[in-house]
Amino acid sequence: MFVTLYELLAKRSGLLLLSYAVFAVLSVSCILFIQQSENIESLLPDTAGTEVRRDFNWLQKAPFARKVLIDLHAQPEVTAEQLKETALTLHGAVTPFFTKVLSGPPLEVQHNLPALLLQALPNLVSENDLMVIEQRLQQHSIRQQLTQLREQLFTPQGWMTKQQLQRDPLALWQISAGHLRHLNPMAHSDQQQRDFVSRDGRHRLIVADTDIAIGDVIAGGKLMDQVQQCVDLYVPAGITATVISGHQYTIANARTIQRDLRVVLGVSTVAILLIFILALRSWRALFVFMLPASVLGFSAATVSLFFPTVSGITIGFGAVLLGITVDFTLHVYFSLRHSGQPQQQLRRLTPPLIGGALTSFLAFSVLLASSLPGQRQLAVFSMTAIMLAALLALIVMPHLCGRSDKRHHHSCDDSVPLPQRGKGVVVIWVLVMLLCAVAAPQLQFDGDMRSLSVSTPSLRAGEQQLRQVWGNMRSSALLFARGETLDEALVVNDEIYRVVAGQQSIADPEKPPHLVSLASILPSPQQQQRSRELWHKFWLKHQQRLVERLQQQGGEIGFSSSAFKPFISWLNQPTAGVDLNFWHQAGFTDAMSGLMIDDSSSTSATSGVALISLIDETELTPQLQQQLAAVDNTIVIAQGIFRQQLSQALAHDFIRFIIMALVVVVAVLVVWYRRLSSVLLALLPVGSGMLFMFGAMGWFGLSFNLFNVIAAILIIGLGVDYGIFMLSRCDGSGCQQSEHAVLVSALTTLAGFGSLVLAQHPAMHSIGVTVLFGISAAVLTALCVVPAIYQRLNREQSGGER
Amino acid sequence: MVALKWCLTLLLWLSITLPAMGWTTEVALSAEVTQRLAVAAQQVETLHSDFVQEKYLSIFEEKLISTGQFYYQKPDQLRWELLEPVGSGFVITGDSGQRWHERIDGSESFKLDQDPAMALIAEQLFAWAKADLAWIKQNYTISVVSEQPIQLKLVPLEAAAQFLSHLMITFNDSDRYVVAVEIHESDGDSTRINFNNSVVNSEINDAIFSDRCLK
Repeated sequence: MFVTLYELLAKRSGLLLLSYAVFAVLSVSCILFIQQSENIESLLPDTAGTEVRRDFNWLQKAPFARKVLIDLHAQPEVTAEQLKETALTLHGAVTPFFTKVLSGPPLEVQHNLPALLLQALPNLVSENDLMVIEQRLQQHSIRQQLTQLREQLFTPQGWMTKQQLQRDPLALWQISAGHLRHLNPMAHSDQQQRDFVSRDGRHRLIVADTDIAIGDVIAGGKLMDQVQQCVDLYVPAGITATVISGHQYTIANARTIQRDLRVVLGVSTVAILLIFILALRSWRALFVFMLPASVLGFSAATVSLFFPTVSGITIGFGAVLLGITVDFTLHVYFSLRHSGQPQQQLRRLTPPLIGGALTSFLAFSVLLASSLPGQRQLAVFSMTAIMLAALLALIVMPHLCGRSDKRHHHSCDDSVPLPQRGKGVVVIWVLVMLLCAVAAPQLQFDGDMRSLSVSTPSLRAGEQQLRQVWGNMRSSALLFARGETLDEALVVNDEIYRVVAGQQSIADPEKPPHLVSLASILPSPQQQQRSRELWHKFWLKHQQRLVERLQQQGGEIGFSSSAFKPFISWLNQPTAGVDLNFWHQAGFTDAMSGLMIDDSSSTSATSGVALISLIDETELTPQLQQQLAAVDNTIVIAQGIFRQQLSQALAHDFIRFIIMALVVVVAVLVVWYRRLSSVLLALLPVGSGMLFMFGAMGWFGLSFNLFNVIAAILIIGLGVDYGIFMLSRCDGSGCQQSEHAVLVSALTTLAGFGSLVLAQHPAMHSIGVTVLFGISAAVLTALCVVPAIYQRLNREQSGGER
Repeated sequence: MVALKWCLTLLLWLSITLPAMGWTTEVALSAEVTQRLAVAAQQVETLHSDFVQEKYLSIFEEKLISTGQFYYQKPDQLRWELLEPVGSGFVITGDSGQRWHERIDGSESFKLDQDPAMALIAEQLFAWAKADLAWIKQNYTISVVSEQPIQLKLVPLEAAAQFLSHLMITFNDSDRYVVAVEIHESDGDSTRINFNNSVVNSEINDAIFSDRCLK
């Protein structure tokens, strides 16, 4: 069919070229008009039964996910005052660049805060709190407290606090203030300080909020530069500033990619130029690369027909995988350019080319079953690209490759036999494969997205320091209490607090509950009612004794008998509950907002109200997880668990995919050749490439990640093509230029993608490693081992026949 | 003649007793008094005084007496230290400061923007020390009780009105510094602070304003 088409179009080459030009222009237009999404969600499983995607969405809501943290560490010779002064100065200097900067807990402290805290107390008290209050009712405690109160009245502060002291002579407001520690996510900070100060007093922390997205390289880079300039200007010698933020990872990635691109593009350009000069030697060879590239736009457009948004990652990887389609045009180029009988060449070339395209097409089709939407998009993209590129190779390329010097022309009927390959080649191949088979099982799958991102030693050290000094705030386990209304969420939040505090008290009975939670200052209305009942009962029992002791001890210090009437009167008044508005008025809006998500107006899956509690991930024991799982409307998310789930999901998905792809390829080859030896020989390059890749990575202690898997598709596609073409060369059905085409195809692939092994970026490096190992082994097997085994089998068969 | 003698005696007695009974005549703050205070305040770079504080509080059976020291240096440094009966105090420089108490070692830092109570106190003390009439006018209705020496009555406009009835501030003869402050609270309690041994524009060691210990 393609020969007939060739003859037809040979007379209308102008029309053909015009049609192709229109095709290319339309394809480029498609790329320009398609809306691409850079959302990482396309790489998260979305199939039923998996909670990875949901967990990822909730993880984005973690309070510290988007903040810039600046830790200031003072050397021994620096005084605490100098450190404080530096923190204050730096705070002021960076403020213009952020939406909000904090160097202490975000409490808009009101002068009437003690009064408000006292007012809230009956709604918050626990049994433990009442035990503390009972201690304060001891004779000596009351005397000590009243003495301090008297002294305070001498000070200027006493001018304003006299009424508060009369209302609360035992300073019970401090009990409520103790509940506020549950709003502090910095577990290791000195909670007595008004600023973020470490327990040893040698560190201070500045926490800054910005609207700049973590992924915004330009604005994020500018912001980090501004912060660094402030640090350089205002942080003196003896104090070390460590800046930690998600932006730094983005910038480190971008800078590494920029550096990698310079290196990789330089190396690959030189390599491709050399291949061009040595092997192709004609400007027409440009079409070998241009034709496959021109299907990019239509492939992306096809994806957009089936998916609401096209992932930028899909397009990027799709473009990489297009390397597979260069194979088709290369074979056409070599076969037809070096032949005086293009029709005959095309007739002989068509079956292996269609066979190669079909195996690749079907191999990619298994990705349609992937749980990752990005992978499914990649399947549609690649299948379209392979189909279009094969058609262009068979229909357009024969008219574009021209004819070389006649001296080099061969006919496919010219039976130029393959040079004899020695037995040594097979022996070496067997040994290498055995070595690889030993190491391959050691290969681990790494589903951690972080390992695909650049993390500099300074960033790692900074994260480590932050954890040690301030606690695990950037990677705490998140416990979400959900409800359609705030009150519903508060009930769930109370239960989470109860479960966690109970578990923590089992682990360490001496230590008070240590989780970050709103439950301690904003319990549900039902819990507040229970607290008020406890409070009322307590004072029924102790009030008389309190009055007597206040009279007696106060009288001895000089207080009048009516001094504390306001306090006694307040104890007997009914108490109103506390709500969100109460705490807003008390100046706690910012401190609470980080622990609350109100999406009640949204229609998304996460709509409603969610309250966040934080605990150290190391405390999220299996027992605690089990208990929390029994609390309705609770979602527990920890980065470690999330990574584990994602890793398991991806590992399962990818192993399944690779097996399915190989099964499909084998099935196609079985149908194609209907002879076991031919099927095995055709599979030899891809099998060797995969085994060598797994084995070499195992020997080098590398792990297999998402990018390795995607690049492995390239190995499967190209490896099968090499096998099919070399087998056709061996059995004489193909063209003798095949080995030349296979070699050039492999070299261009190695030049283009194998050079990525020089990249420092983990993702790019992974692709490079896969291609370098896989393609090297596949092409060497195709060129040396397949002919050697074929020749040996042929000799044995011939001998047997004799 | 006897009648005239009686009249003079009566006038003399009234001139002494009526002010003491609060029957003084208050007039609005004149431009002249404002000018006098402004000119005098400009001449003050530093100020150091001892003080005696007397508190008349209904919650105590007796008045509370305490003594201490006050330091001020333009534009924004201040030290208020109580020496008896209990040692405590604070220093302020700009928007931050340190405070201490004799029972606790060391001192505690604070920032005025995070401590509204201290911010209110600092504003008052700086206003008295600087004779900052612009700030005082924003927060109080000012009337003049006496022009020689100048004595002002300040009635709070907003924030402090819930616990403060009024203040009486008396300047020295040269108008350069305050010699007495009376704080009258809404519930009838009052505090009188008398500043004495005042020294103007002497050199004050920076350490005085930096922390607890006097160097």
